[in-house]
Amino acid sequence: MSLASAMTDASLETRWFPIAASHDLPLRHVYHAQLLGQEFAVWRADDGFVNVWENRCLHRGVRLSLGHNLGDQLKCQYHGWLYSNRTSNCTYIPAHPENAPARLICNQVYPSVERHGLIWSSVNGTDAPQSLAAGDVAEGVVLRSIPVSEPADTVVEALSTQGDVPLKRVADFELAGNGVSVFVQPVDEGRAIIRGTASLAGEDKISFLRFHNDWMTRLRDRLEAKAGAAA
Amino acid sequence: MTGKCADQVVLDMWHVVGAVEDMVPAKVKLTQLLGEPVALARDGSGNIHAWRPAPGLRHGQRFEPELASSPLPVKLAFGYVWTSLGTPKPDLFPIPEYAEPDRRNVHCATFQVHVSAPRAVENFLDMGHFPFVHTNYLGIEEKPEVKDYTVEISAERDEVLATKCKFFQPMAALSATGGMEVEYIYRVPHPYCAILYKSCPADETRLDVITIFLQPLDEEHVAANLLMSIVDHDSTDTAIKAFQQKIFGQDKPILENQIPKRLPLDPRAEMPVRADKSSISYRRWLTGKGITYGTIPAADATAA
Repeated sequence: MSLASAMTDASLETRWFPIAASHDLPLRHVYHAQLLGQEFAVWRADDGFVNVWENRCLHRGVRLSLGHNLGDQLKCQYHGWLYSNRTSNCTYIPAHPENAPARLICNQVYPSVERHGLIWSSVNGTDAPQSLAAGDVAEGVVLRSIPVSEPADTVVEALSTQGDVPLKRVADFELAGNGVSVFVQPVDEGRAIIRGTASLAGEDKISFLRFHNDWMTRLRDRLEAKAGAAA
Repeated sequence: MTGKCADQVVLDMWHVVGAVEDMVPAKVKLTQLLGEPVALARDGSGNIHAWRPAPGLRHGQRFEPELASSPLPVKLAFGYVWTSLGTPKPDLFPIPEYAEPDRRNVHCATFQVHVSAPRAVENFLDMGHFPFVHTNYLGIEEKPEVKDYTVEISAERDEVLATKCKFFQPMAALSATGGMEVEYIYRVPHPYCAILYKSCPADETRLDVITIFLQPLDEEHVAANLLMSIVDHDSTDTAIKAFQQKIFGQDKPILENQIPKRLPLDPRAEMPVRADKSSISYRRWLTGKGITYGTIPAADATAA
């Protein structure tokens, strides 16, 4: 089955993908992620819990990724509505400070798991599978993510045939080889993000990260240039 | 999504297409209205022309009368050029204060914003965002309450009217010298235009007037024209413009991050509270007029 047809397959919505790296969530930050066209506001509470929410305040539709991470609540930038860590229940509406909000005001939440230095989620998944990856995941460092303005299947194909590191396809969106695990996150129908982890075997960490960043960036540039010329 | 307008009621209205003072004499200005190209020019005698441009007409090209062979109606009001793609009524909505001799009428800016016109109108009517978006100017976070106010749809004038609106503002205008409880009146006399009246720091017997006139470039892009008609004998035009540009500069990123960009008219599509009474009335008024351009009508709200 081609990934292009898989993109329209409802089963893809129950699949888990990495949507951020753990290092994308520094203290009190809100990260804007996207998977299969669905936008997320991703934020880590001070208790360590990673919230993955629909990126849209229920009140007037403003992206919650503009908001403030208060440690235990997320505050919408437009009207200061507060939403709780974990439940996403609205706890405070400043325009009416005397009234408690109706309990039914609750954001759409998505499941999250932090593993291998990555944040994983699913558009329509429930419990995370025992193993998020099909193969063994290289542990040690998380590679710099590379966004590509090309569909995920094009990116997977290029990674398996044109990379500087021999990568074999392990599953539809997963490749591995030479101590590197690579995952392709389908952002929407025309865009993807390459995410990866690797185990260091005595290499200098910085030059190792640069090496992978360089070849993946060149791969991205070639793909996008080719698409640009075709258009 | 960004196609032409199919609402006859909207086509038959006057729409703003820019400030008179921004028209470069004898040069063609190409713009867009309701998804369709429109050309404008001010000729050597100062007359303003609007027309449907023939293909190949260039922005900035020298104006010749024969270029305007498919003319559109033109109206000048409040310092702006207005035109229509249909058959407009003779008159635009009135703002009597504009003609008062001691008022400063200042065209503050034209901002292009990636949002629908109705979203921009709603933001203009909203007091609840003052403490969070215009922090320390139009509100402070310690006083976020939106007290009860009155909204009606005036059948006689066919406009949404919100009165008895009160809000604490630390710096309500350039001429303000400290915090004050400011009284507001809002009018929506046109689906894509709104007017507010607020306490005037310089003269407590008068009200300052601020307007937003939106040129719908297409369903999800506007040019927002900001006019101030105020009683202020001290501030320079530059300072008045800078104040209003700072305020709208705070609104712009919010407007461009609203999802969906068109205004949902289904009452269940978003979650209003009492403070949003004027927004609820505005959505109902648009629904009653059958306005689909820039909105998501209730029936297909789930398609958003």
